[in-house]
Amino acid sequence: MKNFLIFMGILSVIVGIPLIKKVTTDSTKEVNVVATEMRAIQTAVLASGRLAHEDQVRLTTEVIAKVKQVLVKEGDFVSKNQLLLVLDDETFKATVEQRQAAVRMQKIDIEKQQIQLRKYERQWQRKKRLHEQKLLDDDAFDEFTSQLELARINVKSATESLRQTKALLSQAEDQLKKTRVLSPINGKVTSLDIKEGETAIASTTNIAGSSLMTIADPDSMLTEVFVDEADVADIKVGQPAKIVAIAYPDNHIDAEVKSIATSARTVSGRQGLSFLVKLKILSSEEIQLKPGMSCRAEIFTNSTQPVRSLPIKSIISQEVRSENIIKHHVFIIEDGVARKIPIETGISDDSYQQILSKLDKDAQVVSGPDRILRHLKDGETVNVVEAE
Amino acid sequence: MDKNAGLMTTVGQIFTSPTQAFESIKTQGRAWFPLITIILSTILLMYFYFSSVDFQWFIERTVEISDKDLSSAQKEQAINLYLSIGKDKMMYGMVGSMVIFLPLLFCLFALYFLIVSNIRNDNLRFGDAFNIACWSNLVSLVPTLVGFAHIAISDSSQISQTLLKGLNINDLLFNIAPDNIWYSFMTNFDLSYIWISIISGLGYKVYAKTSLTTGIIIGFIPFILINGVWALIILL
Repeated sequence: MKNFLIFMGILSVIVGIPLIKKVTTDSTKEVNVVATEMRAIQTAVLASGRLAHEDQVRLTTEVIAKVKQVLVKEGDFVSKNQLLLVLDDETFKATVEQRQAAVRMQKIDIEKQQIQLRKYERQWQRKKRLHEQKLLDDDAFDEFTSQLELARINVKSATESLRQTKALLSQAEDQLKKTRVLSPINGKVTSLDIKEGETAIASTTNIAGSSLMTIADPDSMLTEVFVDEADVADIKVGQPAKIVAIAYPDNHIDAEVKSIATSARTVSGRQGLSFLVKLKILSSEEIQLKPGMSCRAEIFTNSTQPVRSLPIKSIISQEVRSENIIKHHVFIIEDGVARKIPIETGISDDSYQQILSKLDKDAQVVSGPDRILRHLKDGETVNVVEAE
Repeated sequence: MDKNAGLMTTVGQIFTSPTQAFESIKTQGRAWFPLITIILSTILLMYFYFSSVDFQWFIERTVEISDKDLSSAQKEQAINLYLSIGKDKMMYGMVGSMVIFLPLLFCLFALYFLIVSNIRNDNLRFGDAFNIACWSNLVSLVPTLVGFAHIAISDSSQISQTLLKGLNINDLLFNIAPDNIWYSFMTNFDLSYIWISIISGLGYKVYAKTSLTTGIIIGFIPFILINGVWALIILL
């Protein structure tokens, strides 16, 4: 009897505890709800990139020289042909003087050759008369004629040497001129890469000293974003866009597509190919945009009139692999019970999706919390804690 | 009475009159039976649980409880990692660890009785101590069966893992939330441990021929030590 009672007690524990737990545990789930609403849905392509100036000039040097004087600061506005930077020109001045002297020497040489030629011409006239009177033999006359021809060639040679020396002088003067760097456009110094005392180096590669400064037209700011090749077919010139600079996450900048690159390129840090899309900034009040700022852009490729829509988070999608389709459903609250309602969906943006199925406009659609919604089942009792 | 019938009688007596059970265990031993029974029942419970539970929910809850300081991104990463392991692999992993862990635990328990016996000159051998450890833990079948019952009658597939420890005081009495510092302590504090401590004390009493009080004290020391130190760590 004692054993029977003990075993009955154990059995009561094994069955009783789970039963009591089940009865006493409140299985009602607390959910948030939303109602459908009419709103315009804009499908968008997301892209990221940087702000840049369209009219931008990166100044480099064509001569190698030490920087003698920098006449501007970063941020200064400069006008076209304004002197920006002076390089050490001593060597170049000396070269110019050397070449000028060479030109003068060459001119003197020409004068000498011309005097020589004139002398030979006079002598040749006399020799010619003597030759005609048979007082001078043919050999001697021919010899003198050759000397005259040579004198003429010497004058021509000296003239050509003068031209060569003048060309060298022009080259030296040009080099000297390049020691004074002038602004090619009206704009703002956006980057000053060299200091007084540093050596400017003529180079096309981006080594230290090869770039002097960057001047850009501040009114020509645009956004360069890279759009994945899978999305680029939807992008067209003139489409509206919204840009958010990382530095101003709360400010949206209106923009429109200005141009789309004709060829794809590989961008570091991205898989696949991307197209460079330039977005023209339409308004950027209250924000001081600076070139190089990182930004992300939403390019609106399609837009609807206000349509019945629901937050995306409230729509549950399930892939039916056997039929290769995706089915969508929502849960609506009816008398404290969640009811699963299959729906048809239309276009969507980041947050909202168009609902094509007929859904009562006052229906309370469960929108979260996500951890509950994801595991919610048809017929479960729920308690609405928040209506969004 | 044949040998098998004797075994079943001993099993029954462990629940109803443990002293008598240990009298017969002292002569016949057979620690393999409770050891295999406990391992098999644990494996079956694990299998039943993983067959019934909503795996996605299980992973999310495990990550949620395991480290509350994780950021959303880290949680997402951890969830994806666990999900990539898959339900079956995770179950086999847990079952495998149980097969290794349970005999090890009983060995440690036996080692404790052996040390106590040496200190007190009670002349217990390791086999005796292992018999006490294995047979006294046979009553852990009760919380295991409670765990089975919990899963069997649950309407939802979102079954908390703590319910597998069917007699833990958190689910029975307190229902404190996972963010409470006492949550782990409470969910691991199973009432069957008190029962096991009493039975192991009675076992020691039979084997070492000590008084009931001494046996019970020796049986309770591991339970008090483990839970006392744990509680102290939480308090400090």
